[in-house]
Amino acid sequence: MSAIDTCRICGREIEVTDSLSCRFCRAVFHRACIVDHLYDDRFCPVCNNEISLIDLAHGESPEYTRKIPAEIRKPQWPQLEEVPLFEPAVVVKPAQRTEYILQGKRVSRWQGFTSQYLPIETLKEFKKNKKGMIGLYMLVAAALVAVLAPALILYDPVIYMAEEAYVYHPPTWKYPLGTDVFGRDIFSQVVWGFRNALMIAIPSAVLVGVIGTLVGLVSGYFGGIVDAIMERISMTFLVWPSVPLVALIVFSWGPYMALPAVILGVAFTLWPTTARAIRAEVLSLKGRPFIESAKVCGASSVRIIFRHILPRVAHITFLYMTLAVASALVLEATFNFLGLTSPAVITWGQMLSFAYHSATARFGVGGLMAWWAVLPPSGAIACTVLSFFLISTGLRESMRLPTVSF
Amino acid sequence: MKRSKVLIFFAKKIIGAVITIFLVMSILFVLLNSVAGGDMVTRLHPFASAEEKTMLRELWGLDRPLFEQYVIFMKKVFTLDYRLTPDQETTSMDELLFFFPYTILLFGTATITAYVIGIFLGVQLHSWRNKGLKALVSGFSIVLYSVPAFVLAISFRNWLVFKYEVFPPVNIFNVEAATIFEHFENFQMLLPAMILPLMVLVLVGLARPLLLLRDHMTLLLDEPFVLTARAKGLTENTILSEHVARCAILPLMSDASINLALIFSGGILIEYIFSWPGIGMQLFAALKILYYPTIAASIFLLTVLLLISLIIVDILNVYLDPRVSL
Repeated sequence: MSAIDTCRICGREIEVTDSLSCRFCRAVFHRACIVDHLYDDRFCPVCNNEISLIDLAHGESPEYTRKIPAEIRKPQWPQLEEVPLFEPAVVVKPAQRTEYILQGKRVSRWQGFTSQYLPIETLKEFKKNKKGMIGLYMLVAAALVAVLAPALILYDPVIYMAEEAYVYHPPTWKYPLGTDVFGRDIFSQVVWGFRNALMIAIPSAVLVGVIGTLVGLVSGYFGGIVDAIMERISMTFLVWPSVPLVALIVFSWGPYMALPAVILGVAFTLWPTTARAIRAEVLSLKGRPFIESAKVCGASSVRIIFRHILPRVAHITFLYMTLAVASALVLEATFNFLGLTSPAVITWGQMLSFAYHSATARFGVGGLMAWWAVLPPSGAIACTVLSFFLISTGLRESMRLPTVSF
Repeated sequence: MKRSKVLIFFAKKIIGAVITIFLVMSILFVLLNSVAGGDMVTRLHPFASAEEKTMLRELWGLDRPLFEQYVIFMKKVFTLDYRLTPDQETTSMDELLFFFPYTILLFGTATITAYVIGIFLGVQLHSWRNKGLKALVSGFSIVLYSVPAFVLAISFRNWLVFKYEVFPPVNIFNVEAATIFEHFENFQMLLPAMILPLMVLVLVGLARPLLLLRDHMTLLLDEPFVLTARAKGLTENTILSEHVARCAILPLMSDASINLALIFSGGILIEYIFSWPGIGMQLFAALKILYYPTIAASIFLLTVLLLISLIIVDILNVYLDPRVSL
């Protein structure tokens, strides 16, 4: 290295006695320049290697190159027997589990967790509530039927039974609820319908709950422009008629995706209701002192929304989810009747619309539908809707909430 | 109430409504563009030759980039230009506006009737001593609500129109009515056929106001002002109808805005079953063949109708509730 060089930082002339060079790229700096540079940076300004003061050579920098290994060895670990067993000096305790204490009593984790979202008083009241418990039992029975459907059906509900004597036949011992035009046993279809009904109802209820709660929380908490935008969006989905929405989704996804389309259509048209109710509740909660104290403690708004506000509005979400289930079943039957879903999937709405269309085809417009083809599916819809309706009534009464919205 | 306040209220509502219409039509644009089976030209003229298709695409602006198509669509939406070719004399909007009074006739009457009967029954339920009758009325309305409306509608139609011929079907209808007088004649012809759809709509729509009012009144009966009214020596009927029901109607109004949306989207079904000449029927017919102008026009019209009725609900709310101001 020559005696006169230029500093790579300030660009001025340098004296050998005053120079420091990087051991990687051998660039020369003024002592003051590089120290000033390293004050807030860890990297060499020329080669960008991580350097510190001990990596800087004074004067003529020694020959230094990084050794590049010729071959990459496998790491060799010592044999297990050679490793001495140490008794750890500090015994690491398992993480302290959160203990939930309700009314002076220690309760299980599960109970404590749910009590955040469904307060224990509500559950106690709900257990005493006659309507709510009847609804719950009906729902459990429906779920049992749905699970046990393969064992309960008498005949295959999908395959056509072209038995001439038993096509479109009123109830007999052989076919307890009669048969439809294709000779399919109606009892088996109704039992099988429980599965599809729950498959439609539960996802749409979850979607309604999640979207509605999120939008309601955000628009209620932030207010201002966010609230105005959310209000417009929810208004848009509120005024969109559900029939053309589902029809266009089915047209673009194809009839095999009819069930997801129905779920999506139901969720899209029902979430604004939930969002409005949640927003109103959040607005009243926002001014309470505990939110203020959380803010003072430095909690982020995400934390405030999800840890402080969400548990206090969750019961409204449950309420609206039960109502969404009821609406989903009725809407599904409607879409089925209008011919927007796949006829290969056996649902109660499908059975009803099939009863209508077959009667129309057989007797002309205004042909009477067979009572055995209409009453069982509509009764099943009514029972399931009623069970969710009773549950929501029970929940509301045990929460002492005044609003009926369904 | 100051005049400037009223003006600001209406300005806010109208700006909000325009934004809502814009969003609704944007969703419609996305949906119409995602429909499988080719674009509008292939949909409407599937057997046209390639040259004709390119000509139509140029005419309708379908060969341009998607964003320009969107701008053209929005321009057509807000200038009410719902037609395929510029030389078409009647737009889809004109056709739909012809059916507009009939939709209003059926659904306006049904909604008002359902709310009046529901409020009346809800008030009456409290003054009845008979517990069984109370349970019967509320249980009946819940069951009617939970059964799909089309089952009820079809059964009623089949029995009362076709089998026993109590009510006439919609079979006489002047499609070329031009003057108000001819429309009025149409109304007169339709009135007997309107009874049955009206009945179904009222039966289905009764549950909501009835149960809501009953719940609110039960809560209000414990309030101190009821005690005061009783202490004054008012009769139980006066207390219920004059004092309690007036307070309980207020939340009903805010709920009505949600209910109206459901009524309008459910109306398509009722119109379809009773072949009622209305917007929903036209929309459904257009959906079947995917006739784009009518779909867009009827969704635009339904949205506008709903937004106007929501504004009316808001104004009624201000009028009824002294705590709410414009």
